[in-house]
Amino acid sequence: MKTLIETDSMIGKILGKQGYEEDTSYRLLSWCGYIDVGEERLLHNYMTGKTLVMEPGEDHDTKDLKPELIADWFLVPEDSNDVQLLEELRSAMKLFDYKKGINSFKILTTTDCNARCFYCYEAGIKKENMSRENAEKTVGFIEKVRGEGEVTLAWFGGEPMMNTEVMDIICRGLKDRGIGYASVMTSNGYLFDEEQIEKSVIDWNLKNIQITLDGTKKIYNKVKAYTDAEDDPYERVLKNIRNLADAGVRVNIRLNMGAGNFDDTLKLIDELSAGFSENENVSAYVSGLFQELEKDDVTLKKDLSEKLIIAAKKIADSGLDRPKIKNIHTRTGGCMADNDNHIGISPSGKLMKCEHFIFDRLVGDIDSGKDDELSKGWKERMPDGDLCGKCTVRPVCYRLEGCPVSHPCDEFEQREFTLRKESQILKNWELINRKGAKNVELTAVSDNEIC
Amino acid sequence: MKLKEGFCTQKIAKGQVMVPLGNADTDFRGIVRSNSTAAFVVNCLKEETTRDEILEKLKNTYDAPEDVMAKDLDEVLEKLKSINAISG
Repeated sequence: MKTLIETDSMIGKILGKQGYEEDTSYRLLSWCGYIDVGEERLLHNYMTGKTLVMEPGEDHDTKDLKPELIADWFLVPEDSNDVQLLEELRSAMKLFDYKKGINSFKILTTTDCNARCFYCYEAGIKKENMSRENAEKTVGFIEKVRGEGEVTLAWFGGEPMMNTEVMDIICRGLKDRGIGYASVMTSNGYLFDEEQIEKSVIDWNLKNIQITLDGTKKIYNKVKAYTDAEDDPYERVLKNIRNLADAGVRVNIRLNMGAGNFDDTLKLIDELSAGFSENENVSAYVSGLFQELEKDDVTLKKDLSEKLIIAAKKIADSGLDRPKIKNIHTRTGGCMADNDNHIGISPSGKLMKCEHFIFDRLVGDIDSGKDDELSKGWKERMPDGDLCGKCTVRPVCYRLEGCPVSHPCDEFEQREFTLRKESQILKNWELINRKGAKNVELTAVSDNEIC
Repeated sequence: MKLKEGFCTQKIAKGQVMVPLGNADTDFRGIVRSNSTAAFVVNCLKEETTRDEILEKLKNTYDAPEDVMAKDLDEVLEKLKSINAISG
């Protein structure tokens, strides 16, 4: 047995090594799972993030391995309450959240959009653009509430590129105040040209952009139904993806897939692979249309879950997933909604915790600031579903009660979610073997400790 | 003596961790991990108390020689003082 990835540093400091108790019967922690890799097997602890490589003939019952497996929380006493242990760990990890302040700002420059995607959750909402005045106020708000260090600006919409003026004002304002920033953006990618790409790199310090593709040319152009299309939108967006990547911006292509465009998604992956597999700045991932995943149609969800697994594997095989070593361990939050480090700003200057709630369930505004009491409502967790109690990947799953695009898994979704996590662990194994790296430790907290 | 404001505890498994929050009057910025006995002492310190009062509570709770408990208590208190976690 050898260690592939060490326990997450913070979790290791909180848990310490588990003491061995004589006359106690031990069993595998509920949050551990095996993954076969040829003759060897990986044993991953989803609570701590530690991955072990078991040699042929070894498993958690191998006598010689027990002391180390107990010390590292792979084995726990037979009567251990694993759910309670996990929740206590989460509570302890959350004690460290207080330090951060707000350093991440999702800014909606507009709710307007030049595309008319049939699945858009913003379809039919009131169209409003952020004014120059609100852009200036946003700078003041960021200066007031930010934590230490650089801030991240996440440009969002509607289509954020329909109101670039406020991006200019906010970035210039932050620069004038000596506040460091980097940008990320969610865009359809259509409105970029060479001048805008240069500006995005120099003025907005754009590091990463997510661009959605819904299919190959014919399907893409039909789904997007741009209101201002002057040329072939598909070809134009592909050109912009290439130009953005060549300018140093990492482009993450999201492939929206429903049960109806599976075959075309596979074709699209082939096209993207041919065009971008050599470009390290371009990556892709597949995502199920949440409208279909939220339906109570078990057959549909099973079908879509299986298709998502196939499409994700095809992306991985093409290399477009750009795998990185990532520690898979206990999560303490769901998304930006329950993250005190993050706030969203609507075009009218309202503070929001979720881009699905631009006009209601708001938590303040840029004039009066954030209302912490209102923010608390976003932190309520979703009650366990039928499968949660013994779900091996429970530590890495954290769902919020108020989330409009989430629900407890059925068995098919649980399988897909688990496979995604196992896939990342396998990638870790491949990357570490390829690079010859050992005992990768990916996070760190203060070394001060009294035990 | 009393645990200072801003030190926050969380039970975990059979022990407890304690961290200083941002408002805690200390330069220590780490995790104090306690076994069940040390956690008992820390929890006693959440209210104004004395060494002897804590020792009395230990005697009423645990079955161990008094001199051993007194030594353990003094070690825990010393460690807490070294990170400026106790007032008074």
